[in-house]
Amino acid sequence: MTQAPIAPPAIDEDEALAAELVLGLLNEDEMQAIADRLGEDAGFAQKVRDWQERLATLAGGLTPVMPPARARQRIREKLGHSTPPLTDPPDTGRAGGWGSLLWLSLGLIALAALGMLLWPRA
Amino acid sequence: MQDARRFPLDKMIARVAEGDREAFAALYDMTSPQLHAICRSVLKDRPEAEDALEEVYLKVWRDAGRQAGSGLTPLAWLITIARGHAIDRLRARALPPPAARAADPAPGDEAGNAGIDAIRAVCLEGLSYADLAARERRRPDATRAAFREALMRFHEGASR
Repeated sequence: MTQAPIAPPAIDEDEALAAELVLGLLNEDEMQAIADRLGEDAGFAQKVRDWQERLATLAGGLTPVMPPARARQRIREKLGHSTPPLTDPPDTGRAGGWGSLLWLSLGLIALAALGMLLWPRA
Repeated sequence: MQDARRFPLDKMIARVAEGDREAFAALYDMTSPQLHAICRSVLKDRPEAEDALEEVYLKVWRDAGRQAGSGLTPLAWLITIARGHAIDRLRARALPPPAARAADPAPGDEAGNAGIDAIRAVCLEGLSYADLAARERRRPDATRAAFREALMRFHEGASR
């Protein structure tokens, strides 16, 4: 910003450690020491939370990127949520439609494969 | 669904903790573009970011009951999970992250914008101190010292 020399700020060791923890910058040994401390030192744990909030603001400033629909579908399948649609119950729209289209194409592929087995090319 | 969307995030997450699938779907719709952006920013690889996003929401489903007691606002809680998971994946790759696209910061300017740039790079792209040192062509200890100063300035700026 300004060209005037700025005095380096004093480093608050706990603040710096808390930020480094949140940012994943600590090595194994440092992590170990901190893990023990987090459970016992409420003040330090609060500093960590404050940094999580602060840095979340930074990450929240990224331009959102819509994930592809298949990501949503895969999550639903993994959780076993795929049967009831995510939309309103009476809606038999996209999800069902794509599902039947998928089955239809799988069926056609199976039929074609069967055909090739039964009637091999001369 | 439309009603669920209007719920504040904390109510939505509380409902997810009770196993409410509709609330989970609404939460996903509302927050996944943001969390996806974080995964993409850290991992710089579309399929991997998609996998990471999937794992993040599986974790959100499992751990939703912990949000209220986490002491974090709902969005910060979600972002913390997403960033943490994406960075874990990045570190597990054991490959250096793609070379920084940004120009190297001007030497001697670290008191100004370069400090916040470094914080952004670490926060949003998952750089380690080693990555940062390579990028800034500095010794690791000097990198850490400068970065900690930047953190203090950021802290002062954010709490002002």
